[in-house]
Amino acid sequence: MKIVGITACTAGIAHTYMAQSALEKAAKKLDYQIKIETQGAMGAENELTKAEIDEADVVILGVDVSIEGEERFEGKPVYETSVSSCVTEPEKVIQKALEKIKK
Amino acid sequence: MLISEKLIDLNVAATDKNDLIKHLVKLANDDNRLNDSEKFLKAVYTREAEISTSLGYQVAVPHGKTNAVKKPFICFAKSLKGIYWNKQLVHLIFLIGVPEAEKGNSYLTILANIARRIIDDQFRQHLLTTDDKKKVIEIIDPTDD
Repeated sequence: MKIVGITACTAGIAHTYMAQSALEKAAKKLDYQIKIETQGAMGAENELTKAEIDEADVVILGVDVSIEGEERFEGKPVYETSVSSCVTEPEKVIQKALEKIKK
Repeated sequence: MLISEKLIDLNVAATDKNDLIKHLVKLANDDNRLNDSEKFLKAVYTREAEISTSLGYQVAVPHGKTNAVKKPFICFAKSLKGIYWNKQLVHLIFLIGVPEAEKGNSYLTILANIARRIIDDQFRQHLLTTDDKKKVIEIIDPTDD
């Protein structure tokens, strides 16, 4: 299972990165591949390539603000949620995202 | 340097979230990190009112991004008894202050790395068990000298 995603919070200094880390940790535990792009105060980092997006089974958007490049995910199953839920319950977020694929 | 011994309190007396934030803002002000402590305090409260910065892990990360900040900083406090923060018991508190609209600064990378490590159980465990401010600085910001 391959997951890509973006996290972005209002100030872009803490929760964006906590959410990234929490999702990575949860994915590792569940044995899924994941790559999360952060759009914080430093701009976009760990940017997703087109190939990574093409190969991904599902996209997770943990965002509280509007993000750049959302059109990159057109046609893919996208699960959108808040930054805070990615931090507090990352495994549940991943599971919910996976449900998007089955539909 | 984002953190200094003056910005650390390893046994806070405050039992209330707002008092604790006030206390940490005072530490920042005493360490000459702020232009306007009232304005900074307001920015932190406003941010806190939007969405609580306690998101589990026994940690809260109140922060303010405003021109009331002269020099970016991170304050660290430990509450042995714990403080109720949005109904969650919090033991480790990081108060972050950054000036408005500064992109590409190296300190943002350092802050991002700290934020990432908060999710790491060992990072939190080390902070919970340390009583030495110098060690705390090493744990939080190993790039500091």
